[in-house]
Amino acid sequence: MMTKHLVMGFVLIVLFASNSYGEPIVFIVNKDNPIASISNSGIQKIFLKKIKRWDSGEKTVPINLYNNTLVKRDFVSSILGMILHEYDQYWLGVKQRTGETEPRVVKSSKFVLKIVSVNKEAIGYLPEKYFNKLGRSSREKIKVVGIAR
Amino acid sequence: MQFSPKLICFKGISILTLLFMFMLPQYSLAQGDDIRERLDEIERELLDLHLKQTDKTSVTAFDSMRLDLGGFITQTFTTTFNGDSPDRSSFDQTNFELLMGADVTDRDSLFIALGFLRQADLVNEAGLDVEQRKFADHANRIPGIIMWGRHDFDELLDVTYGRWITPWGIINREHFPPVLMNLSQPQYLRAVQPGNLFGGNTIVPNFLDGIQAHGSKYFGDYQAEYFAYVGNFDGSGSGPSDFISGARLMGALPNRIFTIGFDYQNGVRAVSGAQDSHYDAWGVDALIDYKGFLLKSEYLRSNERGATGNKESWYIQPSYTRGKFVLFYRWDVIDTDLDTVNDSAEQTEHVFGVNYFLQPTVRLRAEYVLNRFNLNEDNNGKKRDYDNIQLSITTSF
Repeated sequence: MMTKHLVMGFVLIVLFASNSYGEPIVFIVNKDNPIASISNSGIQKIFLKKIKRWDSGEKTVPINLYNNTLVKRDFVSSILGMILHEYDQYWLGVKQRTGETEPRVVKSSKFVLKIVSVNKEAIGYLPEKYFNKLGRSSREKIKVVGIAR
Repeated sequence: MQFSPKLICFKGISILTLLFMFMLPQYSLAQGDDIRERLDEIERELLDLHLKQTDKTSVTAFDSMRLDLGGFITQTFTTTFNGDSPDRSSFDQTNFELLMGADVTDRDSLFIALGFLRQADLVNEAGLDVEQRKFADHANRIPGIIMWGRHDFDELLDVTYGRWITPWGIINREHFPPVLMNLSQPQYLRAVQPGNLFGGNTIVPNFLDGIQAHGSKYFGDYQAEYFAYVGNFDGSGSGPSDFISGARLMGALPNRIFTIGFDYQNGVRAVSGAQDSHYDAWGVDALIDYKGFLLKSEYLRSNERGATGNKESWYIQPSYTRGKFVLFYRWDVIDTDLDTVNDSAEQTEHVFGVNYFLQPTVRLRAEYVLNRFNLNEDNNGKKRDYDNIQLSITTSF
């Protein structure tokens, strides 16, 4: 009986954990960016600054969120394939060797939206729930180039 | 009951007025909330900026688009024991390095790492009179470790000029204490005779002054990368007019699960009292990075034409990261004179270590090192082998 309860508890914890880390992420660029879609690995390369230019030759400007946001944790694990600690170590190493720093970090999805709306070179990500609530005027200024589920 | 058009119109207007009375405040309230939330965010941003800024003035970045400052400080404590040489202990290294990175245009950048080092080298560490193995007096050194400018043409080509880390192998390119799990680099990257840090006669130089071309290309998720360079290394190893040139090719599987690299270098070594020695060095390295398990391994060999002997070195370094802990081991072998068998130039290091991250930017290390020499007796018949423990902390920003 005890074992059964433990197993059920474990299953519940796993389910709860997977739900709280599983929200889809929407990737957005400015409406004037000619790119139509981008793969997860392409996004990974841009946010790790392994690729620094769009096909058009313009510089990529990835916009990141603070580590304490849930969507950032989801993004780092599902797209970059790291945990936050590894992610911090990655940028620590890059900074020491090249002076290059993590993409610009902002506090909230609203700021991501704002920056991508006005900057042709920017790329950012939003939680799907937040994106779905956006009004028409906000959506007109951006373009969805990928969704990670 | 009769409804005249006038009455209907009047009732309609009344209903609409009532609706507006209820809806407008709701709408205004929602708008107000949104504006208040955004104002809160702006205030938080301003507060953060204010806290990051000094109370005197903010930094002006002259003509650059971006200016970043960073750095780190490392303190080590080393104790040597378990041999015939006297046991010694010292807070032997205090290193501070200041890093500056700037973007001048969207294609031009520069990077500078200045070291402010205070170090007591372990002298005669590999010498043939172990009684003389001791820490030298602390010396202050202020080397310009890295100073380069870079022009970025495209993904396939960027050109770096100035003083840069030699693109050789794995650990030399990582190089800096904040990212090193063991503070001492592999033997082939250390001065064979200490006392010549950043200028020592290592098999391949850690740094070069010159020009370097680099580029990379993705084929799907597979990456290929190259470096080609020419420069000078006027330490004790070669003169200011001796050129060192080389190249590195790398290939990586998706997510860098497996990376392999090939290196070649041609250069000159100055030999006191003899003609300069020309060398060709080549190396191969492999890195496996999978779910917290990391394996790094390098092999290199040099063929020397002149007074210096052929050299060979290799290491294998498995490590495992779990949470804030990293466990590692390194088996590191060097022979700086392959032509002579079982001489004083062959030595092996076994390093057992653990790292703990207080914060992602604060790394604590404890290492136990077994230093083993093939020729295990000094000139007086005493044992050359010894052990050492090194404790260190690195904080970076």
